[in-house]
Amino acid sequence: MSRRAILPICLALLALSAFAGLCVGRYPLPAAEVLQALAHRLGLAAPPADATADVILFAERTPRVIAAMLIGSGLSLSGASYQSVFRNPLVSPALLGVLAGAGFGAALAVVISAPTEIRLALTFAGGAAAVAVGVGVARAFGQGGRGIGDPGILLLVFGGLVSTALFTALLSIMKFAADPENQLPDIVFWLLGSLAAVRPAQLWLVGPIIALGSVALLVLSRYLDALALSDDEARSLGLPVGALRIAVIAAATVTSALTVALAGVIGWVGLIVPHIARLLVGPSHRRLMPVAACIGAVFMIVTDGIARTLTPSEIPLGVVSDLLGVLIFLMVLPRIRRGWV
Amino acid sequence: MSPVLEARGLSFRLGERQVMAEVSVALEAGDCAALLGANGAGKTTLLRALLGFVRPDRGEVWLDGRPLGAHGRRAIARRIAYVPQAHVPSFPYTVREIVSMARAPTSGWGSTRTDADEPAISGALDRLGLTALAERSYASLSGGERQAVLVARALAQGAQILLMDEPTASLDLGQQARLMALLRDLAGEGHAVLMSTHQPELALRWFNRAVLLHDGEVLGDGPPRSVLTPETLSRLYAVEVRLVDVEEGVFLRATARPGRDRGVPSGN
Repeated sequence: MSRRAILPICLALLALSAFAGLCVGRYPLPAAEVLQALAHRLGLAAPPADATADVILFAERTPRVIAAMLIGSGLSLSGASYQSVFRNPLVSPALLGVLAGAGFGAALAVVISAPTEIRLALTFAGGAAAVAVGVGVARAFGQGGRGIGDPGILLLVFGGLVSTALFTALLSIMKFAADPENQLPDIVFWLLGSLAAVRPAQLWLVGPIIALGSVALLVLSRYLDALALSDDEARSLGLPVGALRIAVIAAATVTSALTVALAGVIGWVGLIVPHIARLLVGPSHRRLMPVAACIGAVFMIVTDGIARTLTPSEIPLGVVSDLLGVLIFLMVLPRIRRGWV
Repeated sequence: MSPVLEARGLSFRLGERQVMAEVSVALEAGDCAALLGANGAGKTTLLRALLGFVRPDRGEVWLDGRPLGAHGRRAIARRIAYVPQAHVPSFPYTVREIVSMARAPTSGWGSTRTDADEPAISGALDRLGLTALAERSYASLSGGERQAVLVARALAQGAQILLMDEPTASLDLGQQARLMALLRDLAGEGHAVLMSTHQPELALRWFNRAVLLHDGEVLGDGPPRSVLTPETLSRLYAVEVRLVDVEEGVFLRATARPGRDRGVPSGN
């Protein structure tokens, strides 16, 4: 199959899975009914006979499916970008501590019983603070004659370890301080990840920023090939390496921190999806990034569909995505290895 | 002829230690220059300074009659191409993809490919004999082939000045000879080549100029046959070196002096 055909196929899969995502759930809706309701919203058809279906579809499922798409593609794009700038295929968006920090922010919001908007803000602030700590630590120790603001990769990884450890500890303090009757289950549930709590209001608040961060990463993707080589090579090809690396990290951080704000800490989508995309279209980021975004979105919609249909009560999204991720990763691992020798 | 790239009195300090002092080298079109010196003599530092990767503590690098700092990163990339030592990247790029990255500075990162890109890429692949390998994974090639890919990328960049950091280190005899012949041709076509190497024989056989770096200072600069003498070579590498004239050139023989060399086992 030609590599050019992959992206259209992925887009078709995305449309298909999004539609399926609207149909499945505790109350399965027939495809015809969903189509009619959608057409009605667009002013193309009469209202559907069943008003409940309309409510379920637009108050409940549409936000979920849109959130799943944004989260899946956002995490995949962040992951692929991180893997490129850190020149390591085993890196995930969690590397600089963004997920640990965002998890801490969300837990803090639960403990102080903050309203939803504050919770979103704290989650984001936690993720950003964690990355700031990681990069700050790296820069504090990175004065080896490099450009300003560019501590180099190894120190950034080190900074990320420090900040992940720090914010994981802070998160534990929050768990310890939380009221074990109501707050602790809330935190634990949040950390397992779920799209059940996504409401249109939240989606309007956070969704556009995730989309913006994703678009920024797609635009930056033309630099990612050269950044994946060595610093000196990228510089000799005319790139402002330090500034670009910071820009990519910033966009990826905003994007992945906000996915936590929407749906909790969701496994390693950001690690595996780029591998699958690389397997399909090769490592060149101009082709890789759009395909990774599509596959990530499909993966998340399917995962969420499984999470809400497999058992009567919803299985946490993080659990399903982790299990599914393990399975897929084991399947593609032999082929990934072959490409690298 | 005026120099295209010029180091003017470069000095580097590393803490208290002076690692380079007042190094001045001017590169002209047609130069095929070997940069020689022991490990730690400052070869790589000089190359990195000429590329603008590091700023010297004193002195300046000039490109086309202006300070390097007055040129933008991309403008520099259009004038100077860099060939690092081959290494394996983290992702399985094909040979063509690696070479294509060279077209970034000319076509602009923001724009799509121009008409000049494809010929430049295929031309460079062809010149290095890599056309048959174009769709192979770069990581799966041998060290010598990977090095050739990086030279092809530098050619595809279309820059007049080529700076190379020990590109011959992983090459076999044939690859070495082919690369040297290519560099000599390129210099003949008006390129300026500066290549660091650990093999003085290469300079004697192929190059029209040798620059000798010793403890961060220029020990000699000129035609290889006049600059590379037993005296300078012996100082450069801290071993006794004899040059033996043979029918078609010079044969170089180094004799280590036990106890006086730098931590390397003695022998002939």
